[in-house]
Amino acid sequence: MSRLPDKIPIEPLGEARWDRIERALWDAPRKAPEPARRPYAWIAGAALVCVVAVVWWLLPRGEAPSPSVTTGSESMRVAIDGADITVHPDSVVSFRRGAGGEQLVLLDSGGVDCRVSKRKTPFRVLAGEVTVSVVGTRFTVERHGQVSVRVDEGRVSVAKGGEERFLDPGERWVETPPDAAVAFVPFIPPDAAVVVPDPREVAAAEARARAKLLREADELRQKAPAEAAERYRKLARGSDRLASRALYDLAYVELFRLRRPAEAVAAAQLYARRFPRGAEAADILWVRFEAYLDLNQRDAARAAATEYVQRYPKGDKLERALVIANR
Amino acid sequence: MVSTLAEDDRDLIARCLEGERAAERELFRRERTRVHATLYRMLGTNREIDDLLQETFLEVFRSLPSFRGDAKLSTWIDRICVRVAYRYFGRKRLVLLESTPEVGDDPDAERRAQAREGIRRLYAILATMSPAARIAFALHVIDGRPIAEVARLLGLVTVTAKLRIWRARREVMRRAAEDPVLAELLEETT
Repeated sequence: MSRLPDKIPIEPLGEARWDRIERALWDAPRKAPEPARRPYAWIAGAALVCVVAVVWWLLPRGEAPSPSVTTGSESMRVAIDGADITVHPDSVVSFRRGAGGEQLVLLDSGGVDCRVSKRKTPFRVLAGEVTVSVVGTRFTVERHGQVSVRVDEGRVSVAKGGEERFLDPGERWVETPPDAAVAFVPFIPPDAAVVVPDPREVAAAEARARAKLLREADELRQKAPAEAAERYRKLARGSDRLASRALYDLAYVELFRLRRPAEAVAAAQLYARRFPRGAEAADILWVRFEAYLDLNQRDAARAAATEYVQRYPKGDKLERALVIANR
Repeated sequence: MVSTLAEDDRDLIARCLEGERAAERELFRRERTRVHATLYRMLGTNREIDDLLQETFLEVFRSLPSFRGDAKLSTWIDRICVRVAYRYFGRKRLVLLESTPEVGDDPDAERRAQAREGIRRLYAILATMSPAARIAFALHVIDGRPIAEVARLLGLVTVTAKLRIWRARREVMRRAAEDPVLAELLEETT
């Protein structure tokens, strides 16, 4: 093997997409140029780095931001930590590392097909109260109101409420109502007629509607930010992963698209109260101090930026937070 | 210091520094295809490339005042591009993979689909590597840049860059030994 450039063609971007990138580039807020360096500025810089390093060392370790996937009408394939995952249409999934180093897949709604290579640390799918653990296998988890698990290869453990059962290839497990015992049902081939109980259909329809609303909001945020904000506001009323993302997007759109910093601060504060350990917790703090700056509330901006520096010393917006915190 | 800047570049940079939006747009349109290609070869997909292109050019415009002209403008932009990719891989463990399309009985289509699947598997392996190893491998093996240039872009000495590429390549070859589809993709380039 030497080089592969001729084997891997570049898939070009369409003009419409380039236009979107170009527009976003010139709409985006630019950071102010750095002031000219003063003599001994490097000493102050070094001291600041030391302080930040010490604070970072002393702080409890926060969770890394969780990457997430929201699919529309098509499925999507992702690779993470040696696993190949197909996320079903109309699904919301996020990924996190557990305390023991295990890979966690958080299924908010929809379904995932997982191919997991042999591993030392377990791979887990969390769907509500149901935990599916494997060390190397192929299986499907679906969550449309109830959770169901189907195993194609290998063996998986399904745990709920302190009870754990193992599934072998061809077996399928369906979550039962809270009062009922864990039950196994025979594997139903995909082409067989399946009578789906109404509550599941209702829950699935709700999940689809929320995923659709999110897609609409994402599409509208450039051209019609007020309408996008309205949709994000509706989605934010829930309590799932999608709600926390929508609340962050609402704050972002209020600040950077609609230029309404007071509304952005309100959304950011609500996020901090409702999702203190949410995946967007760091970014929402950044939105907050930028919004305070726009409102000319310099002390509040400095306090929020300082909080950012202390809580997220590896955050993407650290450089910006340091500038505000030290003003 | 001897400037390696072409006259056109010098003029364009000066206009950008004066805050001329038309000059920034000209720079963007001139460089965008090359930057896209570099990012694409590191990522293997266009799915999330919009944000990275935006991030790269924002950093280019923001950092232009500190550009000293001791390298070509394109090389300097490539360095920023690599930094952006490095940060992206550092914060993102999740990699979106392109699906392999279904093919009918057409042998050419089948061969293309097989190659595409091989590429997908190659990027799935790269996704398990460290950002440093992945970028070094992508720039040299996939993008076809000489090792010395990869070292310059990554700010490494040549020996270190060579070592990173060698380790990444060893891992890819190890996986290819158990994967005929991937092996076929790599074999044809031997």
